[in-house]
Amino acid sequence: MWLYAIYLFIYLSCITPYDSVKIIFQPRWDQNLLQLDSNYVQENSKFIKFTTLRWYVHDLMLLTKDGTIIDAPMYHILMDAGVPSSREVVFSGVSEGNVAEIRFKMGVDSSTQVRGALGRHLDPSQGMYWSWQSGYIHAKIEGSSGSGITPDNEFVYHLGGYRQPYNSIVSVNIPINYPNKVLVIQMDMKKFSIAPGFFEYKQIMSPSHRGTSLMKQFCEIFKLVAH
Amino acid sequence: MTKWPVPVSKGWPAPVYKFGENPLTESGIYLGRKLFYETMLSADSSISCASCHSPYNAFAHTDHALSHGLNDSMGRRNAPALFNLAWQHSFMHDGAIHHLDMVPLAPIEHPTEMGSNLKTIIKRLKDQPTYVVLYKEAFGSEEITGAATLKAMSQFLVTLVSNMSKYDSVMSHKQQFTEKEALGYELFKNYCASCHKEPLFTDVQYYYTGLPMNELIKDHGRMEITGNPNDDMAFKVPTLRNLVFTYPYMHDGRFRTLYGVLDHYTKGNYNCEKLPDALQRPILLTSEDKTNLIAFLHTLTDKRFVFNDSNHFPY
Repeated sequence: MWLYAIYLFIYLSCITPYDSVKIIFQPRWDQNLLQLDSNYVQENSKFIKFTTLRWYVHDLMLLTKDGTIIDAPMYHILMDAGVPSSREVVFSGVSEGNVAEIRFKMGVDSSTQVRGALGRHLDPSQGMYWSWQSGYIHAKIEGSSGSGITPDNEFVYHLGGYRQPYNSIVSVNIPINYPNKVLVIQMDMKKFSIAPGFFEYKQIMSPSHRGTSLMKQFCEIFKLVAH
Repeated sequence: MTKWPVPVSKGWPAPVYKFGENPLTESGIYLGRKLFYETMLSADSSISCASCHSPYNAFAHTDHALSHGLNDSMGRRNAPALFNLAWQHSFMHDGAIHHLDMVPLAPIEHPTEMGSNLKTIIKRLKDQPTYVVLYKEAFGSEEITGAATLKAMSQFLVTLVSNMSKYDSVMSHKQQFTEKEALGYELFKNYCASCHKEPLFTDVQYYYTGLPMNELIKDHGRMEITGNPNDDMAFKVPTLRNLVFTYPYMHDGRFRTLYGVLDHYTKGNYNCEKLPDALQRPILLTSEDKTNLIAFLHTLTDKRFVFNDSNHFPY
């Protein structure tokens, strides 16, 4: 009798609504988890460290094998390399065996950009809004490197822009080949650091071709790995 | 939270500010007004919005060509007058900002203006029990957020409405222009009204008007926002209401008098493709014409707005 109850419990806990899939965005430097303010060694033997790494994703969703879309609990999510909980998103009501693809878009979408003061993740006090002109900053990447030529060898990239010709909202689609309850999307900042222009540009503080080009490179580093 | 009516003006187009997303309440407006005069918004607590947007001068910065801020640092432009903002979709001399809610961010964060940021301001406000209560009354929560702060300021700013000048009385047939004013009005309609469109006296667009570049400031105007060479030295059409209170004139305050402004437009530099159509023809004004035109511009003065205590410092 007890055994039956246990089997029933196990059976019930294997089906919805307890099913969920968690996605974790994980900045890394090559094989290591990326820590802000830590030094890493580049290909050219110079040091590099990241002091700020924050970005918005929007319209994050899971596509199931039967074509259903499961939306993330929030439409705009502000993620911060230094705040692990900000980089974890739980999708309820989907089992890991059924997921086929992760889709999201970088940054803040254009219709939200022209709305007024918004709250929570989109609150301008988050420091991700350009004060001198209208528009959210899609991604803030700041740090310093031993091979830069500015006095402190700093790089400050505020990547934004939602209107042509500087629209840098990029869509990212990641097929899921290794279904798992926890899907880790790695972001290899080493790969980003060798993107064309990463060391040359030094500063990007407004929507521009350089900003758009770097944003496209940034979106190339999202990779799902077998867990 | 007592509701407050949306500002409308008879015969005017509908306001463009989205009141549905920020409904006006008495407490919201009061909080916004208090924040407008609050020096804690600046890095060293010496400067409030009212420091440059003077309530005695239709919320403009008078007597200074270029506005100054923290540690007396000099800015690049002249702070414009603030009123009738609910009817505008574009802000700043170069149109950098296109939602009223986001406008305060620019002076708050600029190093030569207030040199601060929302995060710091929120920390300071949280320490003031008076403010915690005001936020609760305005938005139903004691939590002080950036969004609530900006929305409160918008609520106050949209209540700054100037529509009770002599011109407005004449248009609603309650008064009549004098002979000089009437002649001036005809000149205005002929030469100025295409950009300085009635009743707001601006079409909220950006034009190059032939102003030579100030080589020290190197302000390229709208081109700094759009990157479009056609926008070089294009600036927003300012409203002509309350001009007697808002001297000096132009984006960098280069003209101290209205005669100076008219002299610019009658200089005879009209053979330039970059000028708007209305300026690509000679503007011929005799000395008497100029006086009449200025007499008309004086009818746009709205003393009831400028001297309205409910917009002034909340004692």
